[in-house]
Amino acid sequence: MQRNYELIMAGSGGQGLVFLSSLLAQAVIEDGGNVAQTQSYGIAQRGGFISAEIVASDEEILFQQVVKPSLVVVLHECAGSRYDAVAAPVLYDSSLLAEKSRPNNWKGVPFSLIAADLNAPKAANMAALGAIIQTVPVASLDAVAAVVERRFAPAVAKINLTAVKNGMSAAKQVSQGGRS
Amino acid sequence: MKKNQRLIQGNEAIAFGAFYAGARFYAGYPITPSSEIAEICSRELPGLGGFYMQMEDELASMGAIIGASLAGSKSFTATSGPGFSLMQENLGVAIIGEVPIVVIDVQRSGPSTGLATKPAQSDFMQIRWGRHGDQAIIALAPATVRECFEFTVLAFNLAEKYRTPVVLAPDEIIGHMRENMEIPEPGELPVVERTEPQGEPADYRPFCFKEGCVHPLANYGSERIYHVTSSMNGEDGFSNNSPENAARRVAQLHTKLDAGREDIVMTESFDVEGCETLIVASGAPVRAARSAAKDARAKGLKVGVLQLKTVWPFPELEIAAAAKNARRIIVPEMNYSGQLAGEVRKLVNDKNMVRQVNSYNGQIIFPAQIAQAIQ
Repeated sequence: MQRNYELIMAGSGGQGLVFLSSLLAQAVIEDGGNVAQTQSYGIAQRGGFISAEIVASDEEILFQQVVKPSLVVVLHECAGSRYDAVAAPVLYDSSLLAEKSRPNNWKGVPFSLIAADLNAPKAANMAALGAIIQTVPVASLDAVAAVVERRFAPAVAKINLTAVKNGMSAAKQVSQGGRS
Repeated sequence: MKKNQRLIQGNEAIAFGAFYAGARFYAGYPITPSSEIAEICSRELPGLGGFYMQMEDELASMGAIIGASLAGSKSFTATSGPGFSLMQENLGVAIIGEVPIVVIDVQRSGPSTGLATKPAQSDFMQIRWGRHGDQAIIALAPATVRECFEFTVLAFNLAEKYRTPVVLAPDEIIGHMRENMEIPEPGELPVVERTEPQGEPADYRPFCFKEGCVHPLANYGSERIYHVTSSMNGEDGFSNNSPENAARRVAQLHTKLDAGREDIVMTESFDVEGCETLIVASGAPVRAARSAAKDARAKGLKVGVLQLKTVWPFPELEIAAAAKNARRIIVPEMNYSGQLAGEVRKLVNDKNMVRQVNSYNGQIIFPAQIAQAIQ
């Protein structure tokens, strides 16, 4: 099967979005795919809109950026309205973004809550990573686990991997129509 | 899984490419979007037996790498537009002194400090003409992370081979993007080392002004003692104001690159054979161009892409050959004025056949913009 995915991850500077995209990109490589990862940010060190993009393919990647997203992940309200018009599924942090009516393709997953439950508030991006691979098969859990284990000290890797798995379960529940 | 594939950033690949080429001296003043290069050099060079020098500004950075190169160490710096402006004066010194150095200019949006984190390709003309006085320079522009590595190695090779500064000019997109690549093994890519001067040390002359000549460079501190000055000099390196000498000196700075043209000018063709529309691009827009051309060909249109890997000297012959049957040439680039398009226009009789696609708001060029120009 040919893999061809274009992902956008958007939020606020400091949420670990670029890091998340880089872990995901490494997992794509681990699975034998080609990947291009880009980001767009401003001059603020913390805060302000930031987005990271992943293009993953089994073929040579010509254009490096997303043209037709397969999935958008929104981690902060400042990125919210930018993706109102996209047709692709949008996963947003329902524990961080305001409760309001969203388009039908928007699915809330409580990334921050999942991380807080693990006493690891910084791992919200890892929960998002889990939700991503649950929603589109851009990389396998095995590949993500291998990358996470390489990147972190064992204790931190364990928490992060739990966050990934809990993100997967939460996304699965949401896609089956349940509210989390 | 591809065992040795790694996720590497463009700037990271440039730093690794420099180490691969044997560069062991970096002096610079960090600036977005090139700062990762300084950061990696500060971390890695001491462990490689090299030196990282954090300088007070870009003027001093250039001075430091000129000195280090003359002392025998392959040397480089990295900057972006605002810093590159400050480097021009000493870049001229390196040109007349025939000092092999590599300057990385990760291009960002201007004018002046402009949009610090956004991409542009508006420095091509400054790279070529930014210094006073008549001189020539080599500039390369990568379009992939792999090319960031390879072109950096090439930049050092060309700098050594032709005793000249070489500018590597990625745009912010290519500098900051990450892709999977395999780091070449030692020996996989050729690395050019400096030629040792021969003969009696006392007879050594640092320059030769014969047409096309590249004279071996002795290391400062060796028994071959010589003088380098920014003023007009003779083959012995000392001041010489005779018109005959000046003419030979200036001509040789040009002819040495003319003589090496085949070696220096690199392009890559994608489906240009018999193409009716030719897209000429360099850096990140090559990717959008190839994507747009692929879609156009699927619709039966004869569209080819010529990638300019070398920007200076300008690949005139290669463009002319690729455009032989073309009715239209499209030049996408991230600047307002069409710096590359202007050069392409010089090569054709019908100026209207050159169509520009420009982005100058800090945003990238998308395939759809090029597709529109193809129709």
